[in-house]
Amino acid sequence: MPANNRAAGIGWRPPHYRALLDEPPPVGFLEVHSENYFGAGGQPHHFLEQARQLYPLSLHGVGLSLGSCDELSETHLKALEQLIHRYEPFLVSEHLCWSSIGGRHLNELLPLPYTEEALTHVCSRVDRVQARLGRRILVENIAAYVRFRHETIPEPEFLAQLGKRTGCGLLLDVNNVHVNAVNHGFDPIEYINAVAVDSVEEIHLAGFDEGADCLIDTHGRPVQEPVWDLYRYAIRRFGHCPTLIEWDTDIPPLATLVAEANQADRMQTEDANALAV
Amino acid sequence: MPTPSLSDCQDAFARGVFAEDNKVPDWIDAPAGRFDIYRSSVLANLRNALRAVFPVVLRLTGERFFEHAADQFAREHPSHSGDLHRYGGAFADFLAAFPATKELDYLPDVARLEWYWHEAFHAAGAPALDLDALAQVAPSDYEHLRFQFQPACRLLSSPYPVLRIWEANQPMHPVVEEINLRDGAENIIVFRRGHEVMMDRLSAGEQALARRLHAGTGLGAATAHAAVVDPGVDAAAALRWLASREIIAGFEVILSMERGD
Repeated sequence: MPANNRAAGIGWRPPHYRALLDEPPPVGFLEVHSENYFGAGGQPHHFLEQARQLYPLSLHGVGLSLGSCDELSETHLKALEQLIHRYEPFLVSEHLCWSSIGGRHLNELLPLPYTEEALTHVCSRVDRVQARLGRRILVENIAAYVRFRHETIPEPEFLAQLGKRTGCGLLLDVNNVHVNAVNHGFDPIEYINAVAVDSVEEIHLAGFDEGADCLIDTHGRPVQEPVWDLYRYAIRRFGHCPTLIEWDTDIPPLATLVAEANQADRMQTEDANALAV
Repeated sequence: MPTPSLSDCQDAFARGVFAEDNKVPDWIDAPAGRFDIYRSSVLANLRNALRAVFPVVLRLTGERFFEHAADQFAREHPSHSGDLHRYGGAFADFLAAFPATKELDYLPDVARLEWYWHEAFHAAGAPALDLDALAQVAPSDYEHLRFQFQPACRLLSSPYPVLRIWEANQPMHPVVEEINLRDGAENIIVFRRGHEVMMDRLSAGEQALARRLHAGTGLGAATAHAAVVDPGVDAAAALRWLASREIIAGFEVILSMERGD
């Protein structure tokens, strides 16, 4: 089974190391959180090296703190650079967020106020990261539970400007669009329509949970119906994109993840057929 | 409302997350309670990172206490990396000074052992010791041998039987045995074979030898030191054991210039 990153991918997580290597399922690629492989050796690399023989790999960072006003961490960039060199991923992505300030890391994806100042700042950081890594990166929209009164730029416009000025690609998290649309009261279709057609290079799908008064992006459940609907709409607009099923907490059996990935593939195929007719 | 700069905004946001009052910066635009999602998730992420590295401390102290200690630790010892695997190195020292665990004298060493296990798990591998090359060393140079240890190797000496405590608190351990804390000191070596983390006990003399060799002392001086600690130590046997477990990964003969002969 030659893996082909046109098919949807799944996260590569410790509970499935053995099962996946013993019987490689029909998924297009694997994605890992880059930081989980910043260690020099041992079991994590032992298994990832074997997985890499079977599948294309996507490196998804959660800790670079792209939007922070602190200096970019040289240690972090170096570790990421070495990881890229070691595994030759087809995609490298990070989040449109910040997670550290004053040397303190909060190790969480925290929202940026979408202002001209933030845009200029994030653009210069993405420029430096891409120059340092010698490759383009993708930047992902996050789920945010608060907004800022002094914001002046809508998120899709902020992402479009970021892409235009730095050449980076967009990793569109459709679940995050849905979660934010519900939590902040905007129309998710309008959001998708505002994203430039040729800017999306990967899509994330995940499950959310219902909090006290809002939806929470927990990555601990199957993709829910409104997110599948939005995904169907998104691929109609953006065409084929490598799609990932993200599932990070209460990780289910491998077969459940594979079924979700196959569901995404079916939607991509149906959509292509529909367009062909 | 004056517009905050991006850095003021991040500063205030971070302070708000760790603050014990419920104040939220006034430029935050959200229904009441939304900012608390960050308060909980930041602390939960840090707590979960500690839970993953210190399962035995968690088991010994219980959920509620562990959570309390972890949250206090998070406030006093900020994470300094976007890589959460680096978080928690100071947890053992924190527990030693934490009023609520003062009674549990052995707990900091259990935490130290778990941290060493964690470091060993992620450490780089090492090449196998070149025994043929070692056989070429002239016997007169043996005392000037300096060994390289595998990067995963850690040594811990505790006045408490912490490895027994660790073993008795593994999920697969059959029965919970009673451990007498006065059973005595343990000298523990943490290392890796392939990608499996191993832990073993050394005698006081073996530990003294291993510590000196690990620090780069020549074999002659390290052996002499070990014999002072424990006149009965069998340094040759200890060395063979270290080599057979591939804990010793390389060697060099210290140049006479460096020895000051």
